[in-house]
Amino acid sequence: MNWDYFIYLASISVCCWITASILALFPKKKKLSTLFSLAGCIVYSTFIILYWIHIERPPLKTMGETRLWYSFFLSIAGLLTYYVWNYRSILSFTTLMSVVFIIITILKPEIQSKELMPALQSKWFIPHVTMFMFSYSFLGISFLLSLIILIKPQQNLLQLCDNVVYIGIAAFIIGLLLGSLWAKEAWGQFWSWDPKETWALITLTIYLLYVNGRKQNIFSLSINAIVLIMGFIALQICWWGIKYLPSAQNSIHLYN
Amino acid sequence: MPPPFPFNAAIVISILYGAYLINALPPFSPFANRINSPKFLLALIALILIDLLLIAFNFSIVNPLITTILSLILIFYLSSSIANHLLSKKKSPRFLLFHVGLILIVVSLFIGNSDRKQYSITLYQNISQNVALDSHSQYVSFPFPLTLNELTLKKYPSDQPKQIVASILIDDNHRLHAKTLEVNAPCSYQKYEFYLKDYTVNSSQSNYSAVIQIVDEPWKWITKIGICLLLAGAILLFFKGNGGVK
Repeated sequence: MNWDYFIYLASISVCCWITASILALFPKKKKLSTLFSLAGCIVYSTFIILYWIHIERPPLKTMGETRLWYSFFLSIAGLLTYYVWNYRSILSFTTLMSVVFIIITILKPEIQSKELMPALQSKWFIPHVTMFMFSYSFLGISFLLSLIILIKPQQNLLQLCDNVVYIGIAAFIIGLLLGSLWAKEAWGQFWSWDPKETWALITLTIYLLYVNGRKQNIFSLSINAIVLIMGFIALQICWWGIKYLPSAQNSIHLYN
Repeated sequence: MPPPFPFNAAIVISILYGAYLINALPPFSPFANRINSPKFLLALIALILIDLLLIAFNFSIVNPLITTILSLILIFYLSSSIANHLLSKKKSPRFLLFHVGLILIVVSLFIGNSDRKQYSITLYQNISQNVALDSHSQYVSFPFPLTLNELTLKKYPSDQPKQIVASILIDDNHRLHAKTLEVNAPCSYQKYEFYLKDYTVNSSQSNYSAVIQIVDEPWKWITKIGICLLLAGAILLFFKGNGGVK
């Protein structure tokens, strides 16, 4: 399945997710809402799988391809947050965010050939990048929740933030460690202070500040939310922002 | 820069033992309480964050002195936390996996770094070479002369490289050992690991050269064990969430 089909299958997924978001607002429609959300994820993942087969390499190489995964994992993270912790509004927010990323991907697909450079031909490539995209989506949810906390302070939302942040940083740590094992295999060094690595560590450190502050109840509600927003900003720099940093122009991790 | 082995190992053992003593001996308990306090941890995380931001914005390239001092403080804090955790008879597997894993990684990467040796040799077709550039950009003699036997470059139709394979010969006292190198597939001989770092090849592929990076990293297994422990801790965190935090 080539890229031309993306707009159709993504539209079907978005329709399913919008329906699920509306149904989620009614407490008695949880099962139906979950089914619609799941259907959207299945349609979207079907495209990813068929596109993967078509290009004969994992679609994880370009920025556009990572956005494709981000929308997918964001919808999965939204569904899990809704289903496990029963936070009904989250589906609306994750759907909105997924749609934004899908629209950017449609406008700027950054589709490349079937070629995969030798440096990316590694067993670590798929787990390393997908773990990071999975983690980014959960940490993205914590960002949405922290914005809600700043606008309308609610203590119980911070508990929900904890849940998604723990999943997010666990995946982030796994992604980082798999990356260091890959770096050892590729260049002989577990850690080389590449700008992307440094920003990944900055992101992780900010989230560790949040986690340890929360464990001891040191920060106020709004400070906790601000730390999460700072963490999300660092994460965006780590993901795509380093491309614009003068100090990172020689990074080996730049997309494309 | 930390001192080489065995002095760096002695420093680490002293820190570990010191951290145990301040937690085990009552006269030191006020000090231990301060070290193990959440505020100390937050201050340490904030310091590390500032150092990382300085590195990220290139205000200071990685400063070995600051990195070594922060690493030593971190090792002391982590080992003190473990001692406190074990002496108070708590047994949280996730806590131990994270803390022990992190100590091993920090010790091997930052304190054991002084024992790491790295060489770079440019090899030309069928010419034996043992003059290498070390990590301080000094020319040194590598113990085994190397010869580039063959370099095969496969390309995509667009002319982009698809696969690069370098065959080298390692001359160990006139006994030749053939090895094959690829990107992401290094080879090893004795304590050295050989990586294909760069290459040049002409259009007819009749003339080629390769840059081989050679690494001797005696602490690598400590790093790998640390990574495995931390991975196990992260997997526990992933499935248990904050329910497992004590």
